[in-house]
This record gives sequence, C-alpha cells and structure tokens, in this order.
Amino acid sequence: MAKPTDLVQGTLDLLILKTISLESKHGWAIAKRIQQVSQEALQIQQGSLYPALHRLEQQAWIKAEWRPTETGRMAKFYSLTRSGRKQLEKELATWVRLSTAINIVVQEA
Amino acid sequence: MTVFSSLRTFLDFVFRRSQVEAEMEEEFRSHLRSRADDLEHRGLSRGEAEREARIEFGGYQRYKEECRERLGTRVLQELAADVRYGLRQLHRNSGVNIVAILILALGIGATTAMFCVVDTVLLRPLPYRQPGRLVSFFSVSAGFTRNLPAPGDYAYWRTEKNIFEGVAAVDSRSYTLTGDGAASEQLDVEAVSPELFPLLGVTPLLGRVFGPDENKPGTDHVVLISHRLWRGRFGGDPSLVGRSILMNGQKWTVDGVMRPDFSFPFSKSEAWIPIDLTPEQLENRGDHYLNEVVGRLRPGVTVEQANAELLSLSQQLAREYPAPSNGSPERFFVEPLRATYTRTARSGLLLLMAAVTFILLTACANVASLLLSRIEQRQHEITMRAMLGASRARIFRQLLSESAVLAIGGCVLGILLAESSLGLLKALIPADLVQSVPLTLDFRVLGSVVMILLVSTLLFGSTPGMRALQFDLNETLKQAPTRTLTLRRPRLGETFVVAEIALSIMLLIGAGLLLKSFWKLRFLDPGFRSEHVMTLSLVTPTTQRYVDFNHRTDLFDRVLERVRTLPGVTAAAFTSAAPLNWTGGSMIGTIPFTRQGVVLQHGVDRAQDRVITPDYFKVLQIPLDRGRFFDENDGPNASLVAIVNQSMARTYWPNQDAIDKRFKLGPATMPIPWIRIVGVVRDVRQMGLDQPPRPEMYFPYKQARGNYMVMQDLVVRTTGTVAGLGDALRHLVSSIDPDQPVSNVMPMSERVKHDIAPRRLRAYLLGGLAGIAVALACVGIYGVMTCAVAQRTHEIGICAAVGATPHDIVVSILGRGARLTLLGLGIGLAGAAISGRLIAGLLFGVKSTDPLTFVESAVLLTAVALLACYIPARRATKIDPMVALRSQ
Repeated sequence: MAKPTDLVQGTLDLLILKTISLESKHGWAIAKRIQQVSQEALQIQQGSLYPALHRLEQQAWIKAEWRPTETGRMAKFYSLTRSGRKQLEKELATWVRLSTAINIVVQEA
Repeated sequence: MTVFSSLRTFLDFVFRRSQVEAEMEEEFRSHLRSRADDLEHRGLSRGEAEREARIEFGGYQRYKEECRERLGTRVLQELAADVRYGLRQLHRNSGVNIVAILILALGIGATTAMFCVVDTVLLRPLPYRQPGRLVSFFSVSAGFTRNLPAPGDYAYWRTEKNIFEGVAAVDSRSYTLTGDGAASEQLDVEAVSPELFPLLGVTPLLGRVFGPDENKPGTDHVVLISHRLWRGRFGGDPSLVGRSILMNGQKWTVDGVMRPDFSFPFSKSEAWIPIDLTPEQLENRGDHYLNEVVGRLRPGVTVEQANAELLSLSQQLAREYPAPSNGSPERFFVEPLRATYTRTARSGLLLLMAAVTFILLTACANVASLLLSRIEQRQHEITMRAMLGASRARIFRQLLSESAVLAIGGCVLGILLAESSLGLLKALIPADLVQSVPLTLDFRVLGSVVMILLVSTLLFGSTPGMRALQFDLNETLKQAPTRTLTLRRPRLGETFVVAEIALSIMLLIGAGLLLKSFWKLRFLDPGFRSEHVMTLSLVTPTTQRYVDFNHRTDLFDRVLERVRTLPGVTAAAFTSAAPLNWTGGSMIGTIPFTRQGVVLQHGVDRAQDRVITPDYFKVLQIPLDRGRFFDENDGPNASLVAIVNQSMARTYWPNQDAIDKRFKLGPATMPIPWIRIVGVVRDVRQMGLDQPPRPEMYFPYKQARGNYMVMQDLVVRTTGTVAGLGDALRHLVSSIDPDQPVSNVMPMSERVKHDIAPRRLRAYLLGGLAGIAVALACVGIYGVMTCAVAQRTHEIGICAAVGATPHDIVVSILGRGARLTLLGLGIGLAGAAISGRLIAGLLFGVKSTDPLTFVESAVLLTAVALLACYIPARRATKIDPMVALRSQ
C-alpha cells in the first residue's frame, strides 16, 4: 500500500530516532531538521513521517506530548524513551556495520 | 509491540476513538500550519503557502489511514463496520433473520440444556472418593433379575477381601422423630455398616462418623443426621452434636451432621444409624431386604474380575444350599454404583441427547441454506464490491461477521432458553441423584456452548461464504442485469433438505414409539381404580405406644370409624402397602409359605403378603374373581382365611380351583394353623405399572398378629374430589393422636401419574423435539422450493405460454419436492430400523420395529413436506407468462 520513500528501507526510523535524541521535536521540525542536516540530500514526503512516528510510539520507543512551539502554536512533541535510546544505539550499530560493508564492496568493485 | 501498548491502543480505540482521531487531525493541521509559516517567511502569500504546504505533505487521508493501520485500529474499525453492516442487513431482512435466530436459539438452547443434564447424570463424578471403584451388589434369585441382597449374601461378600477393600450394607427403615416442641415427623433412616463412611470416603460437616464398634448393643444408639434435617428441624444448631434426639420414643445421641450433598443411598435419606445384624440374620439367605450393599473394589480389580469371582462364589454356595425346585440357583453380580443410579435414565438421556444433536445439526443446516439463498440473491452486490477493489478475504470477512451477528444473537437467546428449561429437565435426573449432583449451568457447559457457537458459525457462515466467492468476475458482470440467471441450482440446499427429512423421520419414529409405550401404560388397566381415592401413610409400630397389637388395632379402628363419617367418603381401609407405594422389581416384602399336601425338595414357596381391613378391595375397586371378600366375621377367633391374587392361584394351584386350598406361613411341621383361601382377586400392578404382577396374598388384619407386615397405608374413596381430603385426614389423625405422624399424603391417581412420569416426560420431550425437527425440515424444503420456483420463473412462464395447465406446473414442482422427501424418508427409515435396538429398552408393549409406527410417521412427514412444497407450487401457477418472459 505505502508508496516507497526515497530512503533505504528502514532508515527512516533511524533518522527519526537520531533527530529527536538531543531534544524533543514536533513532526514538521523533524522533517525540516533531516532535510537541513542532510543538506537537502534526503527528501522525505512529509506526510509519511506520521505513520512512522505512530509506529515508533506504538513500540514505546518514543513518547509524545502536546506543548506550544517557539512560534506559539500547539504541536505534538516527540522524545525518546529509555527503550528508544537503546533501540537507537542498536540501529546505529547496525547502520555503521552495514554502511561499512557496503563501502568496502563498492570500493573493491 | 508490547502487550501493554497494544492493550492501551485497543482501549483507546474502544473508549476514546474520536479523541484519537481528533488528535491525529490536529497534529496534521499543526504540521501544515508550521510549514506554511515557514513558507510565508520566504515571501509567499498565506494562501499560497498553505497550498504549497499541502502539496508537500502528500496524501492527507492516505497518511491518516496508514497511521490508523500503524495503531492497529483499522482491523477493529473494519470489524465494527462489518458488524454495523450486518445489523443493517438483519434489520432489512428482519423476518428471515428472526427465523434464523430462533432456529439457532432452539438448537443451541436444547443442546446446551440436554448436555447439562447428561453431564450431571452420566459424566460428573459422584461426590465420593474415587467413585469409579464403587460398586453395588445384586442377586439374581426367585425370578428377579435384580433382587435386593439378603444379609446372608452380604456376610459372604465381605469375606472376599481379595476383590473388595470393603463392603457395607444398608437397610432402609422408617422412624418417628418426636420431641423438641415441633410436630412429629416420619424419617427415612438408613441402618448402615459403620465402615460405610470410610468406604465412600465422606466426612461429616460436624462431629464424627461411627466408630467400628458402634453397632454393638449398648453403644448403638447413635445417629448421623442429614444437613437438610439439621437446618430444617434443628435450625442449624452446632451444639446438637453430642446431644440426643427422640426417635421412636428412644434417645439417640447425635454423632455428627453430614454435608449438604450427602444423601446415600437415596435422596430422601434423612439419618443414618449403625446396622445391628445378629449372627442369625447374617445366616439368612432367603430374605432379600437389604436396600443397598455397596463395595469398593481393590485398586486394579475390574468389575468383570469381581463378577467372575462372585460367580464362582455363587456356584460354590449353590452346591452347599441347593436352590428351590421351582427356581434357578441364586447368582450374584456387581455393577458400578453410577450404573445403578442411572440404569433407567441412561438410555433415555442418550436418546434425547442424540435427538437434540440432530436438532442442532438440522438448525445449522437450515440457517446455512437460509444464508446461502440470501447470499445468492446478493451475488450482484458482492460482485460489485469485488469490482470496486474489495479483496476476497475482505468480502469473506464481511459475510462471516454477518453470520456471527446471527450466531451471537442465537447463542444469547439459546443460553436463556437452556437456563429456563433446566427446571423442566430436572425431572430427568434419577430421583436418588438429585441431592448428590445438583443441576446447574456450569463453566464446562458454557465452554461447550462457545464451542457449539464456533462450530456452527464456521459451519453455516463460511460454507455460503466460500460459495459466494467462487465466481468469475467477468462472467458474473456479463450477466449482471439479469439477476435470476446468476443463481445456481441449490444443490447444497437440497442435500440439507434430504438430511433434515432423514433425521426428522428417525426422531418421529422414536417419539412415536415412546408415546405409544406411554399410552399403553397410561391406559393399561392396573387392576384397581385410582380416581377419587386418597392415600396416606400412618407408620405406627415405630411409635412406642403402638408396639402393642391391641393398641394399634384400636388406633386403626378409631381412624377408620371417624374417616367414614367424613362427607363424601364411601369406603376407607388400611393396608400394609398401597399399590405403587413400593416400586421396582425386587423381592422385598415376600414371605415363605407351605402348601398343604405339597412337598418341595429344596427351598420354599414365596409370595408377597398384604394385611388389609375388609373394605380394601372396595376402596380400590379390585374385582373379585372367585369366592368372597373378607368381612367382619373374619375376626381373631374365627378360622384363619386368606385371599390370593390370580397370579398366586395360577402359579401355585395351576389348573385347579384355589378356593378352599390351604397353606401355612412356615414349614409344614411347624405347629401353626393352616390358612384357608376364601377368595381370588384380580391381579394388581402393585410394584409399578410396567412390572408384571407377582403372587400376592391378603390377610384380614384382625387375624394378622406377630410376624405379619404391619399396616401403614390408609386408602379412602370419596364420591367427590380428593382435593382437601388430605388436610381433613391429617387433621382427623392429629385429633385422635397428636403425636402420630402422617406422611405420603397423595391422591392415588397422583401415584399412578408419578409412576409413569419419567416415561411421559421422555415421550413428550422426544415428541416435542421431533415436532421441532419436522418444522425445521419443512422450513428447509419450503425455502429450497421457493428458491427453485424463483429461479425457474422464466422457464415456467414459457411452459405456461405454450399451454401447460396450472395442474401440470404444480405436479412438476411437487414432483421435485416429493423426490427429495422420498430420498430422505428412505435414508431415515433405514436408519431407524438399524438404530431401533437403542430404544428397545425404553419401550413397553411395542416393538422397536413396529411397522405401524414407521408407516404413520412416514405418512405424516410426507404430508407435511408436500404441504410445504405446495405453497411455492401454487405461487408458480400464478406466474403471468407475459411478465415472466418480459423479465428477461
């Protein structure tokens, strides 16, 4: 059903977890941050963020609360839970291992 | 996903779905506003910024849907929608669905209730320790196949220590409980071996059971009382233990109070005392009066092994004590205790259980074909859904949830039905088990209802569902405008109808046979007339003051004298046992006698004895065959006389006139006078309407001293109604002696009804079930034929157009119905013939293969089934050829 994002399968979770690991952010801020940090290289469909956020919340890796943004609008802020932080470490390790492996293969070829 | 969070999601969905939805909406809006703010900063107008933000965001609804899916609530939402849709469908076809729910409720209710009864009677363990090893003893002797044991037999059995851990005897007695300021009361007291309680493995609620030596003279005036008696008469006073109560005017120390579910061996047992069998009694192998002998098999010993051992014991005894020349040698056997309790009920229960299972199957088949025909009508809608992109799984789930709505409705109603019919079905439980195993809807039964529900939902929900999905989208669409052509011939429906007819005819035959047996008994001449007769028991010898014969006679005379003055009373008499007071086929109450001039090689002649006052035959209108009745001249100083029944005359004086023949109650050498037979009366069904009459002799009470049975039953004939007579008699007795208890007050016609009540209940229940089955079969065949007529509208129209008469059309349609009916009948009749022996034990005076019943049932069912076909057939003749042809 879901349209494939331009991201490698499964990396959206990692990006979201990493992005909110320092401070809690609302949906739009997460999308903006990912785009900025990746220097616009990673374009994510903004709406597709939300199913991912809901899934992560369902897994109890992130939690949400409503509070005002700096511009005074109410928004739902997401932050990592304790188990989310563990999950982030796990996914980071996996990512490093995977990307290193891919790099090696790519450079060998 | 953690369990906790899924639970939270689920609860959120159930309790705050709209809030979750609103929050999702708000979050999306907040995102869009933030992005729009951003874009506005870069110089876009507010309107363009909002538009741009929406485009960037992507499919708004799609992401919402995906979020819902992530939350796991989509399945729930769909289910809710399906159920709502199902309910709407139900509402739209409310007639059909009410029928479906009622049919299901009937099936589920009847099955559940019967299962409860079967579980209670046949499956639930008796409330004793390892009840599977408990057996009861019987003797095959004196022409009885299940004679009660004699104390002499018991003495041998308890020495068989290799097979039995223990053997205990029970002798039922009746005692009068007096004192403590309450009215005196007649109690059923069981005299039991002290080892009975450890043998059964029961403990008292209060106090203790008997010690091993408490049946020795001097220590034996101890009693255990039932929970019911303790609560009822003694107000549940715990200090009763250790105190004494007055039974038959003597003091008995209460050793303990039994638990509420203990009532051994009968449900009316109220108290237990130690049995005091003397050495002489323990050698008595002729008087079979122990009401129950129960044993516990050693671990590993089977009933068969025990019976083999008992057989060799009885053969050994037969060599030592040769049998009477007129009988076969005595033989012993044991059977599981439960079998003794459920002997008469078992086959009836299994039969009814089979019947309700049939009904459940028929009900499921009917609902399935009902749904099937409805789904076929909705084929177009289903095709449309498939065309619009619904997956087959999704459609299947929708159909299933529609039938689930029906199933749940049927189940709830069914449970209510079961619950309310338990009161009626309680009568199916053997009387002596009622106390020990209460009948309730329990968890296991509820579990089985859920099972039944699951099975039936799958059975009748998925079958049509599967069929509905077997379509070719293209083919169906091509035919879309002409609905009728998409219908197939309802093969499955026809199969259901044949099965329903087969099951119904089997039930009809079974019910017919039971009803005939019941009617045979109902209209059987019992040898006496029960209308306008009141009966009651006045148990005297147990009250100290009436141990003396003259005092007793005086009481009887005074009671009779006063009773005769009551308005409407035409005759009154005492007897030692009114008919049907003691029932069953055992030898209890027989005494030995010797015919004058007859010398037996071995053994003795025996007959049941009754002691009566002269008017007894007049009250019960038992006709005299020969000779005369007793009169006032047959007093204590006149020569001894007796009246015998036809059976006794035929058995002991065959081809002779029994009048003026003489016999004595004891060996010929005993110095007692001979008794002369002065009359022969008609046989009376004394021991039960279905029990053949046995030799009986009647003695006038003024001559009956000493060893005779004591009179206790009063029978009174009135010209009017017996209502109110019972109270009048009670009042009358208490005005003569306030301490004399009166029990068993019951019109004679009630006793007769009571005697055949189990048969009546079984026959009516099976009759009712057969009626339901026939009705279901008719609904089934009606549905199938209506469907067939609807499908063939076009064809029938053409036939009518080319000149077929209405008669031809009716014949053609009835013919099809008749073929189905006859096929079902054939299968069912064969089934009934084969399974006939299952019911044989429940019949009286009619064979299980009674041709008349078979024919009657077949004719009845055929007639009803054809009638059910005739209605759609008539409708077919009303088809206007022009309309039918144009409908294409």
